[in-house]
Amino acid sequence: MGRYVIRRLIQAIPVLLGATLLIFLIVFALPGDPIAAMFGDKRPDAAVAAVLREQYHLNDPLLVQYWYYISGVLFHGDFGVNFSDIPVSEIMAGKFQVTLNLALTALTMEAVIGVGLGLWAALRRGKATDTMILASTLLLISVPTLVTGFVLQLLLGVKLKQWTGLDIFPVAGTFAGLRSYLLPGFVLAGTSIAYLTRLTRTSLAETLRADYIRTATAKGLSRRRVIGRHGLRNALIPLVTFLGADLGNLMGGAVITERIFNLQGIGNQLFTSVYLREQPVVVGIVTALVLIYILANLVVDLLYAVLDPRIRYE
Amino acid sequence: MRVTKGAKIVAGTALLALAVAACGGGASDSGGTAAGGGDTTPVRMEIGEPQELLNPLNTTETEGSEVLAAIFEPLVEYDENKQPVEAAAESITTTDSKVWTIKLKSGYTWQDGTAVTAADYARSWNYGANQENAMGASAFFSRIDGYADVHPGEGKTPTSKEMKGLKVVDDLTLEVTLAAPFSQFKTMLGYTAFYPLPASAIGPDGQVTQAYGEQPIGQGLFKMDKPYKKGTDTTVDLTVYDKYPGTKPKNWTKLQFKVYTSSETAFNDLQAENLDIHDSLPPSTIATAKSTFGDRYHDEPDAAVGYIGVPLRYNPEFDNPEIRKAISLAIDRKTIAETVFSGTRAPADDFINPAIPGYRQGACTACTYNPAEAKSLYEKANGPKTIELGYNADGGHKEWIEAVANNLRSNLGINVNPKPFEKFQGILDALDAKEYKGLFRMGWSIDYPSAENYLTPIFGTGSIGTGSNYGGYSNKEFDDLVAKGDQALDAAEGLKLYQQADDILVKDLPYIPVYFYRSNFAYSTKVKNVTLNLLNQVNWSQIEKA
Amino acid sequence: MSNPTPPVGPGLPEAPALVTDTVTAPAPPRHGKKAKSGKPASLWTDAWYDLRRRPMFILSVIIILVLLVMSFWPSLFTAIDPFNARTCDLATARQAPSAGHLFGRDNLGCDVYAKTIYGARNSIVIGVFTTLITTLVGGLLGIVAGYFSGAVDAVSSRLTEIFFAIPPILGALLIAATFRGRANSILLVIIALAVLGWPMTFRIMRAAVITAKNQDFVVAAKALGASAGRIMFRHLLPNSLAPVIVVATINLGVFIAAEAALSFLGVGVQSPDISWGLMISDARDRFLEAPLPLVFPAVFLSITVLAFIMMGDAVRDALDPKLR
Repeated sequence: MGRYVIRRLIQAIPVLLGATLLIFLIVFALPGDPIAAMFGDKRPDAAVAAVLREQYHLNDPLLVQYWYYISGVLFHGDFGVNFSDIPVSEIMAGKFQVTLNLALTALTMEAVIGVGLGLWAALRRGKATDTMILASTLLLISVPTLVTGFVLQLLLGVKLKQWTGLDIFPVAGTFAGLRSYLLPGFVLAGTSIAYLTRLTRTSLAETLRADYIRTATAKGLSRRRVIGRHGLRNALIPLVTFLGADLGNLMGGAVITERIFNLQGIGNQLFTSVYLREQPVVVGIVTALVLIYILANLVVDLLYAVLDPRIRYE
Repeated sequence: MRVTKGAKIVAGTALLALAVAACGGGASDSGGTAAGGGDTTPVRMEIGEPQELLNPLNTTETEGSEVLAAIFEPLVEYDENKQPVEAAAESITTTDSKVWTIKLKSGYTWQDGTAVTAADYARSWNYGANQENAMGASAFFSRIDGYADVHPGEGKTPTSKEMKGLKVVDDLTLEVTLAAPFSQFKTMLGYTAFYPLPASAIGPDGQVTQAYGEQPIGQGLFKMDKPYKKGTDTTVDLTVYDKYPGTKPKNWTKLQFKVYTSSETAFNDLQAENLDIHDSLPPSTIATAKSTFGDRYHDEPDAAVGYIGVPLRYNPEFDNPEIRKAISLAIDRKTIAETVFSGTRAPADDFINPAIPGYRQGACTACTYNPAEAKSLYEKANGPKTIELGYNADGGHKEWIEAVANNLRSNLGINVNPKPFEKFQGILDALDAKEYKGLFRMGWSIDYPSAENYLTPIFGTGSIGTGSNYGGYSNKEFDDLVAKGDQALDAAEGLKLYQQADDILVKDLPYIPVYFYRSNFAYSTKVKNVTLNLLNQVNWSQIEKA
Repeated sequence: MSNPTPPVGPGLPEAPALVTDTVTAPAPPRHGKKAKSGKPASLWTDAWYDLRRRPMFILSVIIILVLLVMSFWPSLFTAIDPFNARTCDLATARQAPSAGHLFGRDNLGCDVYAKTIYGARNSIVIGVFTTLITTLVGGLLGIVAGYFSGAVDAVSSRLTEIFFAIPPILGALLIAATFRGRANSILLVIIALAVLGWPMTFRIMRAAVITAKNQDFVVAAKALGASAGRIMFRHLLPNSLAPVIVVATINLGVFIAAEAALSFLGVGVQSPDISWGLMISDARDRFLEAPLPLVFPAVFLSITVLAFIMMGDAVRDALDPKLR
């Protein structure tokens, strides 16, 4: 097991380097001078701009710049500073918190709603409920976040308040604490809820067809006990791993949701930084997301070993 | 057995998720709903995220300036007649508009207790002007004699660390010699760049320290409670400085800037009374603001101007002023101001903004809407059949540019292609590289409240290449009139000459003025007597808690 | 067969969730499927027989046909030409729907209905071309990697891992923002989405080829001395195509949604071109004041994506041998 982890970590290094280098090259190919971008509509003073370019190594070859950058990240955990000398890690810290809250809210909703609906559908397999649930998952998968976001914002954020006076879902921002994450969390989770519903349904259905379930039923155990003790627990294995892997996806895919609901998370920050040509911030955020993705997948693979006795890592 | 474990893990993850989300949610709710009443609840003001560390010499944008204005006392403020009056200065005098004597009021102290001296000003300005320090506001010092020594230009090394035009006469007297006479110098001194920095701001390496930029020490009304960490902090908290010698607010002492990235969100908070003052209401909220805030909604002129720039230096197609006039006449400024901007802009009718002395209503006769005349003029002058309209996509300009494009398409019968650029700088680069030669949007917000600021920096021949004369307009008669205005011995005489220069612009239309900005602000029921100064900063000492 | 099958195996390529979950709407009861002539029915004829009986499939085909007509001849649906500035009147901005303007007017006083109709074309073009490119590139590389294994496979698999590690929307945002203004905006969207999209097809093709490779007929062909090219394209390709087609159909919908997302972020289709994402983006500032100019393109977008995903779903059910 230990050796497997080490091997996986070593395998992750080229992926991390490759992905960050790729991002680095794209980002530094972004047109427009980041120094000039700091001055808005006014032309920057040539001498001032020259000094700043020197200071931030902008005159060095790209690969040299990349080396400065990645060595700082890997050896010192230092993500560098933006063009106003503010540490990127400081800029990211607060934004990561917001995105993490959002992603965890989404993940919780996935687990509760997705598994719940999936169970229900599996138990009513072939009946009207099942068809309804499957149809709605199709809808959840198909309607883009962009649309669900705005529509729910309008209906639950604004109209609900206008019609009933209930202020349950704030329209935007995080000023209302945890409540602020409910609506965007659901919007972000939408597609995953649908997948998880389908996955739960399939997984449970397959499990229920297994021999040991038949044995359990034959022994005369109650249906509730068969499903609860034997069926569900085995069916859960793929679900747990789906959830684990999804955390990375949710964090990296939150930009649209964050834009719609004005959450100051990393997606929004990345968007702003792309516009401001703040290359260190852009690279920093993507690097962090790549790291999360790699770690999440590693954890998922290891979870298998823990959950499924048939899988052994040498 | 292992199956059981799996089930537990699921339950555990879900609970953990809730717990983390819950505590995170609480943490980001900083500065939320504070209980009303009492001196300790702060007055809460909306700002956008400051771009830079809080250093007056490096702050050229409005959000950082708003915060700094609360911490620092400028040398001059502006009265109801928009004239500069001494604030931190006792007197500012000159006999020839070239040598200026600034006497400081005694009694001002830094918020760490030490006295403010003339040497502090000299040190700050020298630091700010020095190109090696790369301060964003360095150009503000360019009129001071000796600027060329500390700021010789790209690729050259400064020959001195001090400008010879700055002379500390005694603890409270500073003598400033300009390179050439400039009648508006006193007006300039109210700007952020001219705030002084204490000696402690500069670290052992000779640079302004990071710590100072996070918690600047000023000599003004408010003192920062703690460092502002950009990225993690969502508020800037301040308290009235007890040794401030000027007028203090009557019945409150705490001020809080709340950082918003969306002005719509801020407006929601204002409606919910989680915010007290919002001074950048976006167009989409104006209708609601008017109806729900009533007297607490204000709409005042703002000194900024929006133009359509003409690339005279780059594209001979627009050489004929009749073509520019036709384009100008084809733009329905009033409808654009009312519909696209919902009244957050006003139709432009002069090159000088109504917020500033020297504006004359209707001075720009070609700024009216007259599609019929526009079409015949354009056809007679044989204007280009296809024109491009460049804009920077980062500043919310798309909609009005599209509206202008539609005006030109239907009124002149030509093809108009709006062209987005990432940044404003991208348009300039493309013009210089001869990759682009179309019209472009341009905005100008003033550096100091003087009519001159709408002329020289944008249209002066000397501002081509170095300043903001991006179109490359050059007119000797105009340059001469502005220069005469600069050398005038008093402001009124200068103003007359500036207006004559403005007359030339109105005739030539080197740029086409489209709108004047408005300052739209509203405030909660918890405060009253909210006013903005000429730089659109809140007059804090006058505000009372209701 | 081991049970349950984990959707994501250690070291195995992670297939997109859409493809791994095999169950969708309950299949309609199968009428005794009989091959018409004595010959055994192939997978494809069988699938076609099955598809024709699925209401979901028929519905999605109808929607897609309407969309295709809409993108080729938008003037059949509306008399207003949204590219003509004279049809816009700023003074009537955000007007509510009326007889002449079914969906009302947008922020610039242009007709929302006409723009929505004309918006179909770019969505379809972007969806189709991105799918073609990702399928060709990903499929080709997938066959090669799956067939040769060894170094070729290792390198290309690592390469796809790099692309998988980058969050797709953020990656596309970066690429589109980088080259914005230097290329036609529609072409740029296609490229940005294709760059991030091909690895998925690659993995599916590779997995399918690896499975097919060990089957007897391939082993036999090899033994008979068939060339690598012949084995790959005569034998492996036809037998690995089914999952790729399913993913391609579903991805078509996904790419259309992604285009809208990019346009919403301001790096997708640029005016004066029309796109639903762009319309949504333009209407968002006044959304709470005037929701309709946002809602109509949003509805069209959703229906389009839904149609393609429904079709993909139906095709998968028809092709999936597990259900047979």
